[in-house]
Amino acid sequence: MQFYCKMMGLCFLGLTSAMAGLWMSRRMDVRLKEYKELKRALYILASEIRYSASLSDAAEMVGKRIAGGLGRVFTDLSEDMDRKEGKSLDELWSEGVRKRQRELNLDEEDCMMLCSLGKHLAGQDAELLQNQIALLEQYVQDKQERLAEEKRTKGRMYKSLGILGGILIMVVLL
Amino acid sequence: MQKQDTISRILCPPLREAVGRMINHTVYPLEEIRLRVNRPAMAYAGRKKMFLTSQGRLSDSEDEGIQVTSAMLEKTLELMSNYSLYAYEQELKNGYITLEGGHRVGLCGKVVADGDRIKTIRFISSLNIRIAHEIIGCADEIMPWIRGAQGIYHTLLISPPRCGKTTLLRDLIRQISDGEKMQVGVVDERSEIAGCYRGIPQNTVGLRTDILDGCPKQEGMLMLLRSMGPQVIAVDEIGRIEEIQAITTIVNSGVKLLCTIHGNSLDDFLNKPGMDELAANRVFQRIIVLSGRKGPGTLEQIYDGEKGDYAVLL
Repeated sequence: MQFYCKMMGLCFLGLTSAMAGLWMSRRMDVRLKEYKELKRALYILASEIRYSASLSDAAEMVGKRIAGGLGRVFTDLSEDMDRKEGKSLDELWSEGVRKRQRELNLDEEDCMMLCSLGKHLAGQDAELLQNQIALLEQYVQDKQERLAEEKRTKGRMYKSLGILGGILIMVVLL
Repeated sequence: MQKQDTISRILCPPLREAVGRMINHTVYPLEEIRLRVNRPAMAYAGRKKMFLTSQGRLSDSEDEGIQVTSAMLEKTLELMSNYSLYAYEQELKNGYITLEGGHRVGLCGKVVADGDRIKTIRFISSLNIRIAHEIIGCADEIMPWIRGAQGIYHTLLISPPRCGKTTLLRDLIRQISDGEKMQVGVVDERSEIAGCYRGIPQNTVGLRTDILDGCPKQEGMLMLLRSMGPQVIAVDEIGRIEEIQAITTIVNSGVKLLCTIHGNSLDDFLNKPGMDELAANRVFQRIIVLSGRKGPGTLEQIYDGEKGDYAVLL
């Protein structure tokens, strides 16, 4: 009985370690996907602005076409704008991003960068606005490339480390 | 929601509350709000221009008026444009934007020009919010005079600014569209007649009325003629030489014309540059002169353009 308990505990530890490695690797995939979605959202936003849609309509359109927390940030923004409660666009946008931060697979630095977009969205020059969005798109592109590179090098390492670490623990404790 | 109630939603919080209270307490309809940076807010109601206090009262004392700051104006602009001032780029070049509800906002600030072409207005420092008014039935008195055995006459309304010519024209359009059951085409170059917001008329202009919003008059009249088969075409504030050619084409095509022009009397119309051709050809069968003598829309004279030396009908 004692032997079985010990084996079960060892299996649990080994599995936990392997799962942790897989989770770390998967998290990178999810973040990469989120960057891709963010880039798509910014692209849709810039396109809508180019054809003179109001920001509220543009945000609503992004919200409809982008799934998950990111889409909801834009939907919230569109609804908040239409309510016209007297807040500035910067406030509405930052509050929206912070409210949905837990649903976004982005790190703190990315969230801060995303929040800064609000300051530029209220501009009166469509060209300037599109340039700001393009700048953010470039930032996301760079982050995406860096993360993809990191995933190539570290992704497999996390998986291997998790599994091998689990086996090592099992062997040591056996 | 009443038309003037919608105006408080587009103002920044301190002004919003003051205007909201004012609308509830003032007997006279609010006509205009003027906001200038570092100066007190003013409101125009019941033909009186006074300072707007934070309690929503109208005061003669400028010290009691709400001091408008640059931040307040910026926030108001954000709310007015629904955070999309860039979408009004084309309108900004003309110095105004049209809001939901048909309200017009004139803007002043630093004009950015490229040669003699205005690109935009930046650092906006003054706003003149003109609240859209719609008086259903204000054209009742005039309708019998412009209706003849062969339908509607080519009609010209002459009036000085702020004397109700656009309000009257709007009601004439509505009555011709709904009452006479005629197809009406409107070229609303400055979005004053129908007050279109995203292409949808915010004012009552009739069931059979098509609007070309924001379109130059001379091109719009011909576009309507070619595409919409109107029986009546209405335009506000004619006066440019290039519009005369389009008017002549419309009249020769059998479509009836409803126009307004700035002026105080028939002579003002006859002496305006370029109008001599229209006058010589007796294009307008009815000429109606308005004034603000007994309030906006006071009917002064109605002339018969077809008879002799412009016979006075009223």
